Amino acid sequence: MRTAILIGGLGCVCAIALAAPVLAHADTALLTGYGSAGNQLNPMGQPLDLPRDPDALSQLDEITRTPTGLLYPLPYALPELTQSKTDPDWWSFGWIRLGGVGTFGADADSALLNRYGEFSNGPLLGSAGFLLENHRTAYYFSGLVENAGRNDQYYQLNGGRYGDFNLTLFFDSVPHLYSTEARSIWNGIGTDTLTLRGGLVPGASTPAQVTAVAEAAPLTELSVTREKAGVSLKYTPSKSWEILAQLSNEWRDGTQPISATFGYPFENGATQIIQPIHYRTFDVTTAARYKSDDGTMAANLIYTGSFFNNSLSALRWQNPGLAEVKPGSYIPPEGQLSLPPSNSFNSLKGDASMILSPDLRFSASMSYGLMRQDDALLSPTIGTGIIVGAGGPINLANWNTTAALSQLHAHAAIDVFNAFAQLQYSVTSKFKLDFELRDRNEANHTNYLAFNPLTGQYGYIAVDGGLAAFEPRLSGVYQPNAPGSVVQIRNLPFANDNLQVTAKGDYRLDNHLKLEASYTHNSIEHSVREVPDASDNRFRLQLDGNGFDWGTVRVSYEFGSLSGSDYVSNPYTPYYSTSLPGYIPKTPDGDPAFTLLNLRKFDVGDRTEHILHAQSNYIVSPRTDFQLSGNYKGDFYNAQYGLRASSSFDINADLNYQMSTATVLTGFFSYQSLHRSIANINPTGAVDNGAAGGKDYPLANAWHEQLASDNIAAGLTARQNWGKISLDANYIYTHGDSAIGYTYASTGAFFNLLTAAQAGNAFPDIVFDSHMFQANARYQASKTLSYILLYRFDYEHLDDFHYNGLAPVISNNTYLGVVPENFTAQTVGFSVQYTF
Amino acid sequence: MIAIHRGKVDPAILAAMADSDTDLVAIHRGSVDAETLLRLAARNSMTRGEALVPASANHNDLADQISRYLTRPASETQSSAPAARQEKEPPRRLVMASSSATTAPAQADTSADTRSYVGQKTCEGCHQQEAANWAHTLHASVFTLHPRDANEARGCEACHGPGSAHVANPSDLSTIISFSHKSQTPIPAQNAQCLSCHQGGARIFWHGSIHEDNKLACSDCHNPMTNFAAHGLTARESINETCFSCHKVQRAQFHMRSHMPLPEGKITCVDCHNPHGSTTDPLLKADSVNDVCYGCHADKRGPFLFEHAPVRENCLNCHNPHGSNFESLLTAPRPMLCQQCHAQSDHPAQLLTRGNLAGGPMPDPRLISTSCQTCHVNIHGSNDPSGARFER
Repeated sequence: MRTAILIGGLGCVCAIALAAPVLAHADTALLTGYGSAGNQLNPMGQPLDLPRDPDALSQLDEITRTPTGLLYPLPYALPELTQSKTDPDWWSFGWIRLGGVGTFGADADSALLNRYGEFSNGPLLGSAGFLLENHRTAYYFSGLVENAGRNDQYYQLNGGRYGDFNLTLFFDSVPHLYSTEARSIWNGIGTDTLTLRGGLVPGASTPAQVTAVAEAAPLTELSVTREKAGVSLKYTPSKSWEILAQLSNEWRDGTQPISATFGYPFENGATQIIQPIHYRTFDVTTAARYKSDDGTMAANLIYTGSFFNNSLSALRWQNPGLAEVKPGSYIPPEGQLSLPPSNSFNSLKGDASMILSPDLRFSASMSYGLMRQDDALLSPTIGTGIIVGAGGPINLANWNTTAALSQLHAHAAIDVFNAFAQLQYSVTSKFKLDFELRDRNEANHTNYLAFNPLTGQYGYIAVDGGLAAFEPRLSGVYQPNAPGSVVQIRNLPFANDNLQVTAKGDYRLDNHLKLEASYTHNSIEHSVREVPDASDNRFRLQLDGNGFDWGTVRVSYEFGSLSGSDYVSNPYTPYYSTSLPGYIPKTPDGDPAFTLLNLRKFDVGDRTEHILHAQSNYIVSPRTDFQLSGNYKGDFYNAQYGLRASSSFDINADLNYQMSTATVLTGFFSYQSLHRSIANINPTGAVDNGAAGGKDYPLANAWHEQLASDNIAAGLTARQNWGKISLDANYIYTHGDSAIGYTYASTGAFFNLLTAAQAGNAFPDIVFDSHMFQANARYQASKTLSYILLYRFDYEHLDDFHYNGLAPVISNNTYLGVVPENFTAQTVGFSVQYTF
Repeated sequence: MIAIHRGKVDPAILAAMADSDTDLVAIHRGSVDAETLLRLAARNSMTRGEALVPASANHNDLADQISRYLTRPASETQSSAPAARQEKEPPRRLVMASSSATTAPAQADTSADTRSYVGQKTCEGCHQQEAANWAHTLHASVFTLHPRDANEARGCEACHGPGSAHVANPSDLSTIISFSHKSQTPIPAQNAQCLSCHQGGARIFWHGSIHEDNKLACSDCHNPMTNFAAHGLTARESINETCFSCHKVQRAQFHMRSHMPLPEGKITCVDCHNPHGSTTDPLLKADSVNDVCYGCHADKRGPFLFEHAPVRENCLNCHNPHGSNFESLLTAPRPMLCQQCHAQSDHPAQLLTRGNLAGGPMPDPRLISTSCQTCHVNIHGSNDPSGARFER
């Protein structure tokens, strides 16, 4: 639920105020994406619904603050364990929270509302669990279940001995709902074979027929559920050693919208289809951690293995055949789309940190990782028939088997080496130096040649033969007798090497103020990119004011300058048919340029960057915090064309007022502005060097596009406690407005296919609005029994021009009808919590 | 309280504690505001004869906590000297560690520090609420039920250091290691206390990390004195709330139109970041952005036969992981996103306009719905022999 996190930041803002006794958890520090025990109705992942403790954190100081100066929230009134009457060594605690929830309104099933959680009506086992402890042996057992039976459920079992070992088993479910209104003209949803329904003929249907079938098709839900189960063991045989082992398996199943084409933008024939998702990912991590008794040395050794398996290598689907080609042209009756291949990743990493002397610390890390993918390759096409290439007919029968491949498996491999070293030297008690070195080296060993031993030809079959009918030279097959038969015949083994060196100086002006300056030099080598070598120089200054009586302030400025070797617009020639002996250019004067000579790809091109950051928190009064922060980031690319500039600016304010232990008010406001500017030129296809202003890229065809986004997020929280009754009320408002405008030198920017009046100068803004209000009332009937009432209002409206006016068939392209499902919904819930 | 502690605490201390009204107020006068003094006096007057047990406390609960402490297997480290009523000592910092990054775990400067341990029960005499809250935490479970060494067995003083000087002069906070805004302990020294047990592991690169550089204390993000969150002993009710206490922009971004399920409680900031330090500048849990993303999105890992350069370089070339106004966490709407880099012959560099919308005079699939990815679907990479342009 989108309520909780934003609200004030310090008060409890979840649907139900919750807290927990000690519940051990898997050590996820080593792992990415391990998830959380929360869900949409309990985003903070707290198992118990508890009131706040009016005695706060201390009787001596009702208000306590972090060292930085922020108010700690009020703690929960945590429950106590109960001693067993039969065996006094055992102490226990348990709880169950049962109830029901209902979401009302026509939009209760909206895909956007239920995107990552379940609001469905019915009983709700919100939470249940237990904790058992033996106070003589220190063994414990605990368990937790949240939202049992729902698609966002979570389960956990723990056992162990405090300070000794912990064993955790968990199961987590994360839904992702894409649409509830898709209309498919195919049968076989969820499988790897889609066949046309309703009497549609593959390759020979009409738009009217497709529209009729689509409109008659039932509404289909497209969703994927990610379920992950795992076991984690953490064992501490001594204070110096820690052993960890974690295994998990994730099942990701469902369907999601995807597209694929049999044509070309002006030929159309694109189809929006449904991808089956049957992914399995097995992860294993083992680690040994060491720290010396005197604290001068620590080391980690970690192995990570990740094994992704997709049981489906391809999706085959029948083509309704709406592409607009000349009569008699080949129209593929069906197509084959490769799905993500199974792959593996193995990595061994070692970390170490040691105090060499009282003023000198050295830390280092080294890892080596192997990414491998060796799936059996698909045939270049599944089509049959004859298509006409620029250099003559192409018999698809010679391309629709794996015998048409130069190799049967992918043999794709990338090795990655990472090294990190850091030396910290305290020159004096006030002045510290820090030197860091980071090296990342990637080696891409993938080597694929698109060569058909059956025909002796280089290349492949583009979109199952659909392109040849529109433009024969785009068939995908290199035909040496055809001028301008430009085909990619090898894979592009992208890889990057980064060597980064940083020197940092840190000077403490007094007990509160610190000045920091750093310089970073990053040497970058790109394989097979427009800029083979580049360097990024960054300077950073920061002033920290920490631990003042009134709060904290922090200001920093960073300047970065990325520049590289001469930009090569087309570094890809060795990988294309243009490098083959006997290649004939398109015209006697040569080929059209690969791309606009003056365009700079922003990820490798020269760039200047400015980053400003300011942050403060101010203790307004003993019970009031005010926080103000702002950021500016500006990237300015040395590019006439391509991405020219992007910038963002934000300002954020928070107010937290703990009026008393019974009353807390918080509010926040965030504003963010984003800008982006690009330029490009629509090419004519003439032959020259591709320079702007030439025949191929005339300035008359130039255009500019600007993006300006304004975003607001604001929230209010109020919490009031009247002894046994407490009330939490939260409101969050989010608004985003993205305006995309464009200018152009002439209608040549879009091939004169539209008039200026038709083209206009801007798209409709992409506007997103969201309101969420939630109120929870809690009645503590007794020490063990409480009642919780929930009311929630959700409103979300997205206006995105990409989806406005979507129909089953538009310009001979088919669509599923997956559009933003705006909603207004109200949710009520009632729960009873019993602790024992 | 007195009865419970009888036999365990020096009689002089017991006698002093019995005069709860005057004693407690006197102890804290000067370091506690008037409102608190009145509140303490009121509570103590209501429980006269029961010494320092406040009326608001559940006596059974407190007894439970104390009995847990008394019945733990490890023998308690008893303070050999009755510390509470010693002559007032000049204030001394317990941890002599400098603010350098080489701060070793806390080592008391024994040459100048004559403080001694007073025992947890003495601490609880004044800090009942702290003790009551702390009793529910993982630290309490370990320290009371299965301490691994003498230091852990000390309970409160395992982290706060010897308490004798503090008992003698409670208003002088320089006599004790404390972890809040009022603390007189330098932050590196506070952190050194935590790192005396928690160094290494996920915190092996803490020193020199940006959080440490910014002088954040462990207790800025953690509060081990109570369970605000289900795990992690965070300073807020969840990991995400803790991070958002400073990282406001990300809080707002996660509520944008397109976001990962963090507000829905399914992921946390630490699924991608290690706030304790890492080998990367943005404190990622893996050695690169892409390695982090592949942790959940293994289907994008490849390697593929045909790779897309900006994808292999960095997922952030096209995505903003914290949230976006555009679908799929994209940094720009399509086709603008793609036209930042593509100007090849034929169709990539043609300006698409509102005339190409679904309801316009010339609807174009390069603009409608998934835009360029309507055709170039395997944009993250293709393993299809016919996937050179990501159409298969």
